[in-house]
Amino acid sequence: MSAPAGRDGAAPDPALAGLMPAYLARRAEDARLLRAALETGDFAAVAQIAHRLKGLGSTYGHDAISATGRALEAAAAQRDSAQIQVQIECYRQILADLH
Amino acid sequence: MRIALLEDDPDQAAILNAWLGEAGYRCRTFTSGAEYLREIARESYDLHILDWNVPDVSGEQALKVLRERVADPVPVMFVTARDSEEDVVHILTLGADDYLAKPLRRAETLARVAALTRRGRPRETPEGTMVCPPFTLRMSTRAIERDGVPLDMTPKDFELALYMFRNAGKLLSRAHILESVWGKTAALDTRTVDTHISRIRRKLDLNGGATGWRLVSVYLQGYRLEKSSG
Repeated sequence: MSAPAGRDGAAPDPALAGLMPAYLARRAEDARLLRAALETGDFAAVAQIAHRLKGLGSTYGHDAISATGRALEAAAAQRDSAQIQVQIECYRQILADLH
Repeated sequence: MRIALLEDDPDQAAILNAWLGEAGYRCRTFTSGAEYLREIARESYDLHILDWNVPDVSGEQALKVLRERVADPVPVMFVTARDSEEDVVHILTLGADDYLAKPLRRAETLARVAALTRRGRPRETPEGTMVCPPFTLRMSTRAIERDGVPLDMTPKDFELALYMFRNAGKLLSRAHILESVWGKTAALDTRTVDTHISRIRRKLDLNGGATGWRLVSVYLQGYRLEKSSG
């Protein structure tokens, strides 16, 4: 699992260490929810999860999660299933790298 | 300092609580707008931090109600992942004092919280003196003078008077005062606050007379120190 490092070379945030396990567990659950939402064509649900990822990732030191959330949110607004699929795969890879 | 946080996301709430707690703030989290509105009808806070998208009543609606219901100019910081110019302008126009787009950054968030909470406070000199004529409060000796004459104050009287002068003009609930002056874990009830308020009102002559200050009791809500018109 990644250390609770600060963003962009900033000093590590000591508050993150204790919070990281629950945060990562919820991000894994988000991956499952994203897949389910895509399968049912629920773009509103994709947008909601994407919005959460965009607003949260960098705060926990994971800029890539915020960036993926931003891309997912844009794809959900366009109802672009193919792009959503690409971004979900990207997100799964980010999570795999963090563990 | 007491902060009300309206945030339904557990990870956002957890990190904000951790940052604010480390910085010495006491933060109470509300996960729905309805729960938050029930609380602000009976309690006071030094700062409100509101997310936009929360269950029941949105942060936007909660802000409107807060500004309608609470006459005191309590600062509000809006914290949301919505970052369009239109959204920022809308929320600031509704009465928020600051708008911070997620993802949050620790140092910036704490700097903005500090800036908002010191707004409207009486200035304290670098030597630790606060002048609220005719009173002078001296932090180093924990003493209060009226027109240069020292008053007889216990340490707790001083703490309470200092807290009320720092928050002059704000309505403070009994629980808020108790937490701030006696500490979070104080095993006391709010009648302790009433007793000490009566005492500093008498000792400092805060009845709206010669001192020009009045310490008023607001039924079922708390106390406010205010300048009297006379």
